[in-house]
Amino acid sequence: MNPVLLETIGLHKRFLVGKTTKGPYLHAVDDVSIRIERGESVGMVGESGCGKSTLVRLVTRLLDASEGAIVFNERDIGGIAAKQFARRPERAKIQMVFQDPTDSLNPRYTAFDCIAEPVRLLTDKNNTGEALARRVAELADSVGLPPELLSRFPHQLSGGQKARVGIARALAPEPELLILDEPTSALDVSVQAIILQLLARLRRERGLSYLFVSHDLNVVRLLCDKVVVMYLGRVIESGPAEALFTNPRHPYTKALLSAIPGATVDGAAVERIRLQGEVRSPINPSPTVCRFYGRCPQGQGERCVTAMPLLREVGPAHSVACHFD
Amino acid sequence: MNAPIPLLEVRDFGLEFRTRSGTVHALADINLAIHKGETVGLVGESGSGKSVLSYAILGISDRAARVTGGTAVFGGLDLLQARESELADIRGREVSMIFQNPRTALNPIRKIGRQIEDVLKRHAAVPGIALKSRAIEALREVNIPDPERRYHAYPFELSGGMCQRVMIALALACKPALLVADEPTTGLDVTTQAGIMDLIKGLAAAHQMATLFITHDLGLAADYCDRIVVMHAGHVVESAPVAQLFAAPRHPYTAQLIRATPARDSLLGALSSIPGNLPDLRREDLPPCRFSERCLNVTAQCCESLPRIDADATHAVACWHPLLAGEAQPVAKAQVESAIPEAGA
Repeated sequence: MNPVLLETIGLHKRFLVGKTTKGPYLHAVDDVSIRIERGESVGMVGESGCGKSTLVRLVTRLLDASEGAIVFNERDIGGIAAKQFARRPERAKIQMVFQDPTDSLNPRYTAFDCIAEPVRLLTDKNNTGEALARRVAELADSVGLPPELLSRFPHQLSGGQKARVGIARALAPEPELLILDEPTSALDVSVQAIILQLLARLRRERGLSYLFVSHDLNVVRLLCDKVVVMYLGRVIESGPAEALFTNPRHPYTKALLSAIPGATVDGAAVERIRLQGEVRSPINPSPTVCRFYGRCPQGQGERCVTAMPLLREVGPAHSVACHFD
Repeated sequence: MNAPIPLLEVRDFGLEFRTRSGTVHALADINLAIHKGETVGLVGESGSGKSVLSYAILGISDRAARVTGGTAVFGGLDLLQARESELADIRGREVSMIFQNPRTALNPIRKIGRQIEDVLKRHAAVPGIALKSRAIEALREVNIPDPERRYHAYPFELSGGMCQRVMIALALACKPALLVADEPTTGLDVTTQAGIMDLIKGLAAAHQMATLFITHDLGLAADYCDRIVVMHAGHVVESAPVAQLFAAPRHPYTAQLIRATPARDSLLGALSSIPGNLPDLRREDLPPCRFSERCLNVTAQCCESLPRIDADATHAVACWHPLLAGEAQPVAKAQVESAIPEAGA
C-alpha cells in the first residue's frame, strides 16, 4: 500500500441558515472520511447539492471545517484557519483545475501571465526574467500548449487550449495533489479525449494524486482507481472503480449507474432504475433517518428511519452505507 | 418508412448572419425531415449550428440573421415565408420549444402557475375559470409533486430539475405536434437527466408528438432518439436511424465523434479526439465540404463540390468517400495524445 497523502477524518461542515447561532444549520458535509494515497486518483460523484464542492473547498482550505481533521502529508492542516493557509507551504502542494476554463482564467492576463503567476507567488526559486520564462515554457510544453500561444489572451484561445492553460497553471507550483472539478464538462467531445489522456499521462509521469470531481461517470471510470459516491453530505459508497462499476451495492449507486446515457448502445440493455420522490432537506436532517429514505427503491422499512446506516466493508476496500446490502 | 408527408420538411435551407466582422455563413444546404411521432436527434460540436437551425425553424432568429434560401414546410405552411402573426399562432400551440437553461428562460418574477396560464390563455381558448385547474393539471402531468402548492412558486424556489419540468409543462400545455428541445438536460444530474428524458419521451409517445432533440451528448441521443442527424459547421453531414448510425457510421466525422465519446466499456487509450477545429464560418473561401480540412480521406473532388443530402433517404450522407460498413478509419498521428512532444524528454 502506498503512503497516504490526504486523509479527512470525520469531516463536518455546517452552514448557519437561521438568524441565531442556535440554527437551523445546513449540513453540507456530514462525517466524511476519505483517503487518497500517493499517486492515486480518486473520483467523487454525486448529484448537485450533495456536498462535493463544499468538500473540495474544505480540502483546498478555502473554508473552515466545523468538525474533523484534514491530514495532508502526515500534518493536520484542518486546524489552520483558511485565511492563514494562503501563506503556508502546503498551499502550493494542493492545486485545483476548475470547471469552466473560460471563467476561471483572468481575461486580462495572457496565457503566459496565467501560468507565471503561481510560479512567482508560490515557488521562491527562479522567479524572475529568463528563468521564469523558461519555467513557463516548460510547463506549457508539458501540457502540449504550443509556445506561440503563450502571448494570447483567453478569448483568443479555443476551449481545449484554455483547458491546457488551466492545467499548466495548476502544475506550476509542483503540487502533489491536484483537485479536478469537472475539468472536461465544458469541452466538446472532440477535445475531451485528448485532455483526459493528457491528465492520465501527467499523473503517471509526475506521480500526482488526483481528486476528480465529476458528473460524468464514464469519464470517472476512465481516469480513477477509486470512486467515492456522495449523497446529501454523506459518503454512501466507496470502493475500487472496477468493483463499484461492475458490482454497485448501494441502491443510489445502482440508480446512478443505470442513468448513464448510452448504456444501451452496445446492445446489452441495462435495467433502468428511476428514482421517485424528492431529495430530503439538508437543513437540520434527522440523525437517525437514512438520507436516501423516501427516494430509495428498496428501503421502506422501519430500520431506515430509526438508524442511520453507517459505512461497512463489503469487499476489499469496498464499503457501503445501507441496511439492505 | 413513416407517413409519406413529413410533419416538418426543411429543404436546401441556408442562413447567414451579417456582423461587423463579416458575414457568418451559419447554415447551408440543410435538408431535414421529421415525421409524426418521431424523435430526431440533432447532434454536433458547439458552433455547428444546431441551435441556430432550431431558432430559425421557430422564426426567433437574431435580427442579424438572413435566410439565403430554401423552405421549411410545417403543415403546409412555409415557416420561412410566414408572416409574424401566423408564426405567433403556431409557436406554443403547434411547435413548442424547451430552452437550454430553464432558469433564464422562465420569467423570474411571475409564479410558474401564471406562466402556464399565459400560454393557455393565448393559444388554447380556455375559459378564465378553468385556467387554474388546467395549469395545475399541466404541472401534475410532468410529475411535479404537490402541484397545487407549486402553482404559487417562483422559479427561484425550485431546483434545476423542477424548473425544467415547468418548462416542459409550458411547452406541452397546448399539446403541440412538434417539440423542439434544445439541450433540455445540460447542467442537470444524470439521475435527473434520466427522469426528464423519460418524461419527454413518455409524453411524446402519449400525444403522438414529434421531437427535435438537440444535444451534444451522443450517448443520450442514442438512448432516446429514433433517428440522428449529425451537423458539422452548418452542414448536415449524416442522417440515419439510430442503430444504423452507431453500428455503421458512414461519414468520417460521425465515426470520429462516436470514437471520441466515452462509453461504458471504452478504454482511455482507445479514445481519440478529432483533429483541427471547426472552420471559421466568416471565411469567403469555405470549401464545399466544410469537414475537408479536418478529414483524412480528402481528395480533390471534396474541394470542388459536395453531394447533396437527401432528406427522404433512410441513411443519407454528405460525403464523396463514405466509409463502408465495418471499415476502420485510419487514426491520424495527431489524434493520439502521446504524439504530443513529451515534456523535457
